[in-house]
Amino acid sequence: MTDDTTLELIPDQDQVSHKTFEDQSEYDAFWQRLLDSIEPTLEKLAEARRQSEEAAKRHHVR
Amino acid sequence: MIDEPRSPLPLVTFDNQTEWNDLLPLCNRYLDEAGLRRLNSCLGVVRTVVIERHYIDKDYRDTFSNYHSKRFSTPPSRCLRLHFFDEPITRDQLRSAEQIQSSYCGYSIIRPTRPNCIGRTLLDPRKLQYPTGDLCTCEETLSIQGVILDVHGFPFISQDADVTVCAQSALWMVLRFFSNRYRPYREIYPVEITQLTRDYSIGRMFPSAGLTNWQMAEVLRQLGFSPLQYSREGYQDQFEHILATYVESGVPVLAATRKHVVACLGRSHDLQKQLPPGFNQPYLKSSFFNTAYTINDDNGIPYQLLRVDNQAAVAPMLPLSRLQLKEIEAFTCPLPQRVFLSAEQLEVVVLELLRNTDFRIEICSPTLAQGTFVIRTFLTTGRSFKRYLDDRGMGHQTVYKVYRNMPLPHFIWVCELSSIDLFRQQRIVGEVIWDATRNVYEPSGWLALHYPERLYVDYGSALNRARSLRDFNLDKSTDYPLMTHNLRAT
Repeated sequence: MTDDTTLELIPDQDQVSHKTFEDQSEYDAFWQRLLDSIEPTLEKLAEARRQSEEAAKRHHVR
Repeated sequence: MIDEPRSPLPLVTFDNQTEWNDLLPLCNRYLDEAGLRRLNSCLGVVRTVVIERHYIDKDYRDTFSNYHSKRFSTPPSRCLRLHFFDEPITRDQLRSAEQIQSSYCGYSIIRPTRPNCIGRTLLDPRKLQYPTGDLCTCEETLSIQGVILDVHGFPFISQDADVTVCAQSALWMVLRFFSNRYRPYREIYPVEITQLTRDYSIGRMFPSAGLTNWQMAEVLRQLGFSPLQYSREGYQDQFEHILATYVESGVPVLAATRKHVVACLGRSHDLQKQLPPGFNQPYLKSSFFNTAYTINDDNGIPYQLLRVDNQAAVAPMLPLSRLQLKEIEAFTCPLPQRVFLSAEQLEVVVLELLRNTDFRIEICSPTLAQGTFVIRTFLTTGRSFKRYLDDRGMGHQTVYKVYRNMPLPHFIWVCELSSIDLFRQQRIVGEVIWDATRNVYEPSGWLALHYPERLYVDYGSALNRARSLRDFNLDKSTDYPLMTHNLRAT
C-alpha cells in the first residue's frame, strides 16, 4: 500500500534522486535567507503598487 | 463585378470595373467614407466582399435598445455585416464551407452610427498583408445563410462616441477575447460595461465621458478578474518589461496614454537584435528583443504596431500606430482570479534564487554560467504546459517524466533559461516552475528548478505535503524549444 508520504514522481528511477537537505531545518533556513534578502525589493514593489493604484483613480481616458 | 446588388446578400468582386468605392452605394446609410478607408487600409488583400444585409448585431442592438432608441433622431436598429475573402468567390461557392473557408479573412459589422461606423470586427491576422506579430487570438464560428465558417483573431470595435468611447471599446475588446476563448467568462455587451461602473461614478453615465483606469479595473473585478494596475511613474524602468511579461503570457492588457486607452494583445521581436556596446550583464530579459507591441486602437484599424522606439527595425508598409510605447503611462492587467503572484514579484524571487543562493547558476550550472543567461518569464496553465511536453522533449527523459507525473496548480509561472545564442534560435536549456497561487512571502513557492545538469523538485510543493527538496542528476541534457503556445504566430 502506498500513501502520499511515500509517493515518488519517478518510481522506477528513485535511485537517481536524493534529498537535497537531509535536515529539514536547513531547508527552512535556506528559505528564510532567501525571503529576507528580497524583502527590501518587495517593499519597493509594494510602494510602486500603491502609487499605481492611487494614480489609477485620477487617470481618465476617453 | 457586383452580383445581385438588390438582394439581401450582394457579392462584390474587385476587378477592372469594380473597386472598394463601389461598396459605398451598396452600403448606403451604414458605411461612410471614413469607415471604407479604414477597412481598405487593412484589407487590401481582399478580392470579394459579401454584404449581409439586415444583420442583427448583438452589441449594436444592446446600445440601440439602451441609448439610440431613446433619441428623437433614431438610426436603424439593424446593421450590415461584411464578409471578406482573399479569393474571388461565386454565389455557388458560397453554399459550401469547404470551398470558401480557406479564403475567409473575417467579418466586420457596419453600424449606422456616426462618426464611427465600424462595429464588432474579427479579422484573421494571418490573412492580412502586413506583419502583426505574435498575438493573443480567439476563435468564433459564424453562419452565412447557414454555411458555417470559423475565424481566428482578436476582437475589434470602434467607439460610437455616445455609449462607448475608447475606454469601453478597449474593455469590450479584451472582454470579448476572454469570453470567446475561455469558458468561465461570459459575454459582455457595451452598455453593461458602463453600467458596471455605476457605483464608482459621479454624475451621469450616458453619453459616456470616458472612464478612469480605476473604473476599468472595477469592471474587470466585478466580472471575475483579479486586475492589477501598473503606472510608469511607479514602476519606472521595470514598467515596459512587466507589460511585456503579461503579453508574453497571453494576457491582453489595457494600455493607457495620457488621455487614451488601447488593447495591447501581442508583440513582435527581432531575435538578431544586437546587444548594446559593452554589454556585460549576468542576465538578459527576453523583452530586450521586443521591437513592437500589437494593439487594437478603436480609433484605428486592427493589429497596429506600437513601436518600442523610432529606431526599431521594422519593415516598411506596416500599419504603424500613431502612438509609441513611451507614451503608455499605465496599464491594467486582467489577471485571472487564481493568479495570486504577480509578474514582478515572481521575477524578484527567481532572480535571487538563480544569482545569490545555494542553487545559483554559478554553482549548479556550469553550462549557463559560461556567459550571460537569458530569462523569459510567462504565465501558463498546468494543463497547457503538460500538453506540449511531448513536442518539446524538455531536454532530458527524467525531466520529461517528472513533469508529466507532477501535479501542477491551474496556473504556473515559468521562467525559461537559455544562453543568448540559443535564445536567438528559440531554444532553451532549463526553466523554473513556480506555483502562481503562492504568496511571494511564503517559502517553497517553487515546484521545480531545471538546469542542464540538475533538476530540483520540491516534493512538498508538488505533492502538498511537508517541504522536501529532491535533486536529480541529469546526464547528456540537450536544448529544446521554448514554449510558444500563449501567443499565435502570424
